[in-house]
Amino acid sequence: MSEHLRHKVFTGVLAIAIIIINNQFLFSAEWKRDTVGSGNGKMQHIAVGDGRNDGTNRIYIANDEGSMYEFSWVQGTGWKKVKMGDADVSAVAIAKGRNDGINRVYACNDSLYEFSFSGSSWTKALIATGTHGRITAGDGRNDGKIRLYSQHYEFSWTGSNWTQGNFNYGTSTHWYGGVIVGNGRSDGVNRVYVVIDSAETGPNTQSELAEYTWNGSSWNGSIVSLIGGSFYSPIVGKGRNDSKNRVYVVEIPSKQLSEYSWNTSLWNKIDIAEVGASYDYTMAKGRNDGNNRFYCVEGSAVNEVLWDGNNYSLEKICSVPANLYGTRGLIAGDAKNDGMINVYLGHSDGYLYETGYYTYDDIDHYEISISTYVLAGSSFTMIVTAKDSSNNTVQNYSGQVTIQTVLASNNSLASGNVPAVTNTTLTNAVATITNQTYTKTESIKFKITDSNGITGISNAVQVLAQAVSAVSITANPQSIISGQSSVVTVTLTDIYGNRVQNTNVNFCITKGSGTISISSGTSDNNGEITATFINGTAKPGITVVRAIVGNLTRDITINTAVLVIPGVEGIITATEDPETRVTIPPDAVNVNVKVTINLKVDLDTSTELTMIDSANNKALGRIIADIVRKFIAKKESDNTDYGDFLNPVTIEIPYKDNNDDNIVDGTAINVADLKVLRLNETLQEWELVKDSSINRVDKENKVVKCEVQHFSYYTIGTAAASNNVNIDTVKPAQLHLGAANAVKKKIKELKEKMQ
Amino acid sequence: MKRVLLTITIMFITMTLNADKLAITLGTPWLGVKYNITTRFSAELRNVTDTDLSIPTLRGCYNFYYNEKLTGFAGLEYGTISFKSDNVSGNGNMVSAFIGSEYKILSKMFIQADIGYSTINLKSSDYSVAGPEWILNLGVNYYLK
Repeated sequence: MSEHLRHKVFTGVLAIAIIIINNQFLFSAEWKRDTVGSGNGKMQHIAVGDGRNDGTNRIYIANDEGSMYEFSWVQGTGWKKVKMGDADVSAVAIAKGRNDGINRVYACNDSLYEFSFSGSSWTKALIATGTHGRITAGDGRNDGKIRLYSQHYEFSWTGSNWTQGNFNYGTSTHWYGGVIVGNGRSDGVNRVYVVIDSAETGPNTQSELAEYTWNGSSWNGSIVSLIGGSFYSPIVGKGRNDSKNRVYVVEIPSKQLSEYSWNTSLWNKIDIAEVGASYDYTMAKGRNDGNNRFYCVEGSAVNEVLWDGNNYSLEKICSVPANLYGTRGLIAGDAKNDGMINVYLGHSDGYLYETGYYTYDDIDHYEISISTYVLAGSSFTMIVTAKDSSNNTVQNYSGQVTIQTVLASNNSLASGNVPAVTNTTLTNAVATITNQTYTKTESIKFKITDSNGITGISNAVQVLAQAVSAVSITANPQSIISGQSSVVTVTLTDIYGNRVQNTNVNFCITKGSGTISISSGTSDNNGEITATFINGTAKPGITVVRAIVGNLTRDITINTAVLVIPGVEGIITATEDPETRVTIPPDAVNVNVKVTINLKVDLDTSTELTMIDSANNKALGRIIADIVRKFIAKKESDNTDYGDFLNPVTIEIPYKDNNDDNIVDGTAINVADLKVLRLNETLQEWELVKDSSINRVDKENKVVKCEVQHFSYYTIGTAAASNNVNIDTVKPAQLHLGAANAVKKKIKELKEKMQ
Repeated sequence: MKRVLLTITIMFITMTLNADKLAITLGTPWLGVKYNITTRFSAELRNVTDTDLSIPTLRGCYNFYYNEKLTGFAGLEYGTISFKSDNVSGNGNMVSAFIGSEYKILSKMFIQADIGYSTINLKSSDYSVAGPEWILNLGVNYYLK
């Protein structure tokens, strides 16, 4: 063998091996059964065709509860059932029975009906009564005209009405197994093949498969086959996938599918296979490979019979539910209008089933189509497609997959959240998910995994935050002294708690004094923006910095303090109320101390004001409720409370007496009685300050001066009877009916005394 | 005080199981339980019911006269007071000496009247009052056995 020849042989063998490997390992096929729909009773004979003349095939099926159904395939939705009308029928056919180019649906049992679609609804017309068995249509006379055939009757449309003729056995009233029109002898001549039951008076007393030929003026009858039992409806076609038509029929009760071939002088019969006792069978290119096969049902087994060139072989392809009355109708056709032939079975359990042969290449991976950017929590669409190793879509594949998310930076690490849709089903290789969501802002990838461990990974998807729904603000430190600065940080989050980037934030100072380093800016990648607040006063007090984001605002309060140094007298006035003053003698502190003065409006509403309001309520009428001052002294070193001073410090709190009547404006309190009161936080009561002998009114400056040993909450008012509990009788005894009235009188006396 | 009341309550429950002179008392306005310890001595636990105040009291009586229809008694009463009305709340106590009688009107039902001289002490925050009052009590006693 020459080198050149060896090379050719090797190449050929390699090519064949590749083809075999492709077929064996890279190609998959399977039969699948689905349910099309159901009817009231046993589903019977079926026809598939363009019954509405709109270019769309549909399924037409008779039902033994007297209904005709039409099933239409709607892509993306599924099967849609329409009840065409009431008719007690068991067989159905679609044909241009009137030779007017329009398909109609013909159905028969005791009567023969014609169903016509008007464009919006179905109308039913009676053609004849007294028909039985099956209905078929064809050019039985070879004159180019379609006629209807049922039992031994022939129905012709004259242009205005139907005429009814018959074959030789026109007196028959007995059951006919079926009828078909076809070129059974492969001689170019259509004939009518009729099954006549054994009880019929015909050419022979046995059951017969008869052939009728129109000679131009009458029908000539002859016998194809005689048996002692009976036949189901015959089929004419190329069962061997050669150029020759043959006649096929199932005998009863042997269940034997037989083939009759005309050899120019007689019929040769061979038995093909025992295919079952179902009421119907069909021949079709069910595998969509160009080859006819027979499809029939035995019990619950749906079988397929194929001529392999030498013999017929039978193979079970799928199952239908076992039922006493079995499968009643069986037909194949492109009912989904997708170019694929499927087999349809009308079953006695009331369902119409579809079984199809699906071929597809093996799945190599999944492709995920998805946007690069999505909004957190908002629905977006992702499309999953099954792909083969050549990245072609694996047609016809259906199956379920799970959906996960991983970090875009590392596919092996799960992301910080899970998607809303975590599994889906691919139909014809594709799954479209329109309601997918993800709520955490991060860069992720979607990962698809099927039951075989085959995966797919998406491109990186950046999940973006929603609009700002919350603003938080902090200041560090939140308490500063003159000249110091505080870093104000604003954090923006969306409804899911995600940080919001690139959003404009405005800053302003709504109370106090000082400067903010920027008036506006945008949030960074962490959803934050920082600004620096610089204290602009030497007075203690409160400064409020406000952050504004759209219509959202958030304030932060910064305490501004004055630094007091040991050995130096400190005289400090409140920023917002200069009349409030603290005088710290040089020997009152031994470390640097930050002093702050807060007014009542600056106090925390949930804790401090609750406590103060409680104390105020106990001292109604004897204090000036709004004049509350909080004096704070903190060590500069560690920001802890200084505690007791080494020597008393003087605080001054102003009062108003604009008309100089010696009565505090807006009250009945005598100015001369004013004292500084300190809050007992435990009892929530105002108590007279007696830290030293100084606690008196300075009418000239209209302040109350007091020496205190430590800072706290202070107000001014008259000293309560607190330290002077009165136990005295205020009214003489009276007679009361019941103890309650006596006590109420005493409560009244108590109120009077308090006022 | 709660312990005292609990002890007294337990005592009365015990009496309910053993005594045959236990009465439910209803008066102006109070609800109470009275127990005749002997023919000479009796005790009563009352609680004055009112929306603004509560006065649980304990009174002890000496029956200086008694027959089938009529009983004359005198005794002492002590009660604690808690009140809250018109933003004023506080507490206190009362002590009374009283004299009265109980008259049978049905087989198990008696009417009762007594008058007492009481000292009432009240305190709210830093303020307090104290003083005597006359108290007239009218009520109905229903004996259980």
